[in-house]
Amino acid sequence: MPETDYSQFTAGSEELSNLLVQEHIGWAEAIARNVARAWSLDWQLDGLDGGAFEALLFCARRFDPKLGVPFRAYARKRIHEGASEEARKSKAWQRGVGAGEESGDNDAREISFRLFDLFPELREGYLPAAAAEGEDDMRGIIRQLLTSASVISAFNDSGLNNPESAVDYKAMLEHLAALDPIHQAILWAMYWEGQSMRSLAETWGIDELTVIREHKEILSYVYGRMSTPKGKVVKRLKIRPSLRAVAQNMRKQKTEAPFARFMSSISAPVVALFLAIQLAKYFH
Amino acid sequence: MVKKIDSKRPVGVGSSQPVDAGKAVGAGKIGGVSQVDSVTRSSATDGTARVGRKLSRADRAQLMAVIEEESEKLFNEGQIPARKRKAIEGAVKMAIDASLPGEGEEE
Repeated sequence: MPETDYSQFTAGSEELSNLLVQEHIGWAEAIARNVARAWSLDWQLDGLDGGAFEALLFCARRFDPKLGVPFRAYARKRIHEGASEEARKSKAWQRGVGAGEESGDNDAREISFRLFDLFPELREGYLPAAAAEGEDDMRGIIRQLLTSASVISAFNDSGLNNPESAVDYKAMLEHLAALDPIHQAILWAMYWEGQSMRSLAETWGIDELTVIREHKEILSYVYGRMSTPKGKVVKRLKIRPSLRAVAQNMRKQKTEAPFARFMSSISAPVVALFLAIQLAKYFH
Repeated sequence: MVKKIDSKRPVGVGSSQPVDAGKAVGAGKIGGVSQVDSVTRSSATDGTARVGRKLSRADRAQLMAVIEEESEKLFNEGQIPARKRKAIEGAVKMAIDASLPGEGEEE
């Protein structure tokens, strides 16, 4: 259905915002219902309808038809954000209601919420773009999402102060610690420090697109390392030209690679626990 | 020694066409530009640079199948314990499900 032409209205006018809310309330509710269904929540009892409505109202008041962007394209991300943030605050989420008997479901909810921060295009109803420009590679994108979810899970477990959890992700962390320091710095800033790609790009004085693309390349590479049998050679990940100056600078300043440092700090207790597990298995 | 020039005309070469008189390149005026501002830094990510394929409910079954296949490969080598698979695979499925267009949204 083509969108109404709002160009005759003044941005911010009550008349326009009322019309936008009236015409899009059903659409915003559909988004909230869908988010609730994905996380096994109730879109009304858990307050997702309120979150979506507030976001719709916010967007309706700020929408400027003269900019030529359709209202739905402008508002979808924020409405999705409003609904999902309410979901996360809900008692059902906090108590793990509807997440099933096993803790895996509740962990999955947390990880999926974090995936939206790292791949905001999902909120807009799009798959992330492939690492290479112009490529439509659904499988490659799913690999990136799975790897990203694994890194988030490793981060979530690293805060548990449980050496067993460190053992769970030891192989993956070793792969991360073997990356070039610039690649380690990207993952560390995004996953361990919660920095956005935009702010990281600003810190380094480069374009955000460089960080977005390199992040995808790193995830694809780590997936390759994790899914390839041991002993098989995986092509080394190159640093894209637009990042080389930052990488050289890091080398000059002898910046310590964050995952390598992290691994050295946890490796002794992990090795001890690993040996204890192996011995227990042997004598069992 | 001077080579003798053959008087025969080469085969296949027709008469030449008259050349059109070229229009004079005038010093045309560029209207409307009063001042050129300095170049400002713009991010290539503004717009659709980071966005890929639009999600559709029709693709759901295929997406879920690909998630399961790729998850199988990821966990097959045992580098991440199998008990973590439910959370990791489930998270990607949830994220895709929550991003799909809602019922009635897709028109």
